[in-house]
Amino acid sequence: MSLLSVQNLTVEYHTESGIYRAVEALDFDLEPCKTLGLVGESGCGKTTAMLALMRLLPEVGRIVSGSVLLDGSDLMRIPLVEMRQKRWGEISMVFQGAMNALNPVRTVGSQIREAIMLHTALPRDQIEKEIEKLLDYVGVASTYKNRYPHQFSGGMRQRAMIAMALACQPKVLIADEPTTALDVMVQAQIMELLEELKSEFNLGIVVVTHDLGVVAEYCDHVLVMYGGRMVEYGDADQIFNKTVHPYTQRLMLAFPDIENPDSELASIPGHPPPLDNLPPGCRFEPRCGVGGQRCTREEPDVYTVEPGHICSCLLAQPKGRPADE
Amino acid sequence: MTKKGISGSSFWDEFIRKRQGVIGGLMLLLITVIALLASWISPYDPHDTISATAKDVLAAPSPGHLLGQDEVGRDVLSSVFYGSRISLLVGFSASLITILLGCTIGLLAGYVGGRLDILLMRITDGILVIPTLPLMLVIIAVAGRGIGNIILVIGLLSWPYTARVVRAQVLSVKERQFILRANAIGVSHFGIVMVHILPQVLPVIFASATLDISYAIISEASLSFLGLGDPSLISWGSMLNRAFLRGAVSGGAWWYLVPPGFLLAWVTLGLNLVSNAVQEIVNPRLRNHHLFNELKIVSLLDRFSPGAAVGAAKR
Repeated sequence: MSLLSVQNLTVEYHTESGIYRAVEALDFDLEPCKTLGLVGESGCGKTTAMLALMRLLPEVGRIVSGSVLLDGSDLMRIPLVEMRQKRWGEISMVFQGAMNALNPVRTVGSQIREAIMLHTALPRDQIEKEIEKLLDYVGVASTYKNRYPHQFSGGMRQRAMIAMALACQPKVLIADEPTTALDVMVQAQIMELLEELKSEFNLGIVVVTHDLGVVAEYCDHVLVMYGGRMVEYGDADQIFNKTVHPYTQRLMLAFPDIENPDSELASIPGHPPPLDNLPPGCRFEPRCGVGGQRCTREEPDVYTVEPGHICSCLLAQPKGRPADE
Repeated sequence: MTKKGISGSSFWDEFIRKRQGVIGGLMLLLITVIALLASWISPYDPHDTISATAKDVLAAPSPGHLLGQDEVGRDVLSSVFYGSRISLLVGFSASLITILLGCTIGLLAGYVGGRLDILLMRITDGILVIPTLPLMLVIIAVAGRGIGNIILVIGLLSWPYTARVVRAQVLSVKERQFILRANAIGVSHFGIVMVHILPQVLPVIFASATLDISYAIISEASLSFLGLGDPSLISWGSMLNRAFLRGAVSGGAWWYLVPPGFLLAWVTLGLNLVSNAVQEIVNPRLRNHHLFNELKIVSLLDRFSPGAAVGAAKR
C-alpha cells in the first residue's frame, strides 16, 4: 500500500464572482522514499492541490470531493482536531518563498521550537537539543538558532524551513517550489539536501516546481497538471523520454537543452485557460496545435499508455478505437 | 509597513537619531520628573488652606512666589507642579484603557473578520461619529466628577481610532505566509494573534499610544476647564477654570493663566514630537525619500514645470 494516496480530489473556490474549479479529479500515489514532481504553469492548481492535502485552503476554498489516504486514514474526513495533529506530525510542508514563511520578528530557533512544542511533550532542554540537531541536519550551524530570518541568506532560510518541516518526523513532505528565487548553486544544494533527508527519514516527498531540470534530476515520478487537471503521469523516464501529451512536449521544448544550447526556446503561445471560461473540449486544445476536430468538442479520458504511464489526451487513445467518431 | 520587523534595539537606535523624538522625549522627561518630585520641589503645599490677606489675592510674581499667587493666595508655581501629576495620571491611565480596548477590539475584528468584524467596526464607527466632548460632559455630569470617572470616560470613548489602526495592520499581517505556516504547524488562534501578529502591530500601537496620551490630557483639561473636573484635586484644567471664573483675566493676572496653559501645550507638543518620530520609524512612507531632499526638490523645481516637479517628487 502506498504511503499517500490521493483519489479524485476536486477543489473549488467559491468567490463572490463565481465558482472556480481549481483542481479537478486529481489522483496520485506516493511511495515512501520516493519523490513525486508536480509540474505545470502558474495557475494550474498545483499549490491549491497541495494546500487542499493539508486542509489549509483559504476560506473561499472548498474540497468538493476526493479522499487523501495517509496511513489508512482519510485526511479529508477526520475531525479538524485530529488533522491539526497529523499536520506537521505526519504530513508537513515547505511553503513557497522561505522569506515570507518565517516570522521576521522572531528567531528561527523559536519558530522551530513552536512546532516541536505543539506536537511532542519533550522537556525544554530536549527541545533545544532537537532544534540544534535539526539545524545540523539541514546544514545550518546550530548557533544560528538564535538569529533572525533577515540574518539568514536565502538558501539558509530555505534550509531552516526544511528543518522546521522535519521537526516532528513527518512521513510526507510537500515542498512547494523549494528552489524558486534561489541561485543555481543553492538550488542544487537544497535538492541534494531533500534527497539525503528522503533516504534518511524514509520520507515521501512531493515537489511542486516549474523547473524541469529539478524534476528530471530528482523525481521518481512526474505529474503534469494543466488547467486544474492531471494531463500526464508516469515515472521520470516515461515522462521525459516517451512523452505523449502535447503539453508536456511543449513544456520541454520551452526548457533549455544542454546538448543543443543554441536551439531556440519555444514558448507556448497564450495562457492557461481562465477557470471560469474553460474550453468545451480538451483544456489545452486552444494552445495545442496538433489536435483534431474531436479535441474541440470532447474532454479526453485518461488513457493508459503503458503500465504506470497515463495520459489525458485523445492522441493517447489505445489503437484500434476509431480516431474520429 | 513592518517589512523587516522592528526589533527593540534597532528601534531605539533609530529613535535617538531623530532630533524631534529626542527633544519631545526630554520635554516629557522634564514634566515627569516635576510630577514625581512635586511634593519636594514645590515651595508651598497648594492644598493647605492658608490665611491669606488681601494683598495675597492674585499677587504678582515676587521672590517669595515666583509665579505669583491665585485668588485665595496659593502659590501658582506649586499648583502647577502638583497639577502635572493629575494631567499625567489621567493621560497615562486613560490611554492605557484606550490601548487595551483598542488593541483587543482591533485584533479581534481584524483576525476573526466576518460578522464580528462588521459588528465591532459599526460600534467603532458609531462612537467615532459622536462628538466626544459633549458626550463626556453629559456622562461626567451624570456619573459624578471623581478622577476615576474622568479616566474611565476618556478611556472608554477614545479607543475607536486605535482599534481602526490596529485592525488595518492586522488585516495586512494576517495574510502573510508565516501566519499560514504557523496555522499549519498547529499554533492555536490565540497563539497566532499573541505571538505572531501582535509583535508586528506593536510599533503602530506605540505610535498611536503617544497621541492617545496627549488626547487624554487635553480632554481632562477641557473637562476641568468647563468645571467638570475633580473638585478635590488641582489640575491644569481646573486652574484655568478658576482663573477664568475668578477674574484673573479681567484683573490682568497673566501669571495665573499662562503657566498651566503653557505646560499643557508643552506636554502635548512633547508627545506629538515623540509620536511623529515613532511614526517616521515605523511607517516607511513617512521616511525621507531621496527625492524629498530639499536641495533636490529645489533643483527639480528649477528644471521642470511645477506639475512635473510635483510628479517627480511624488515618485
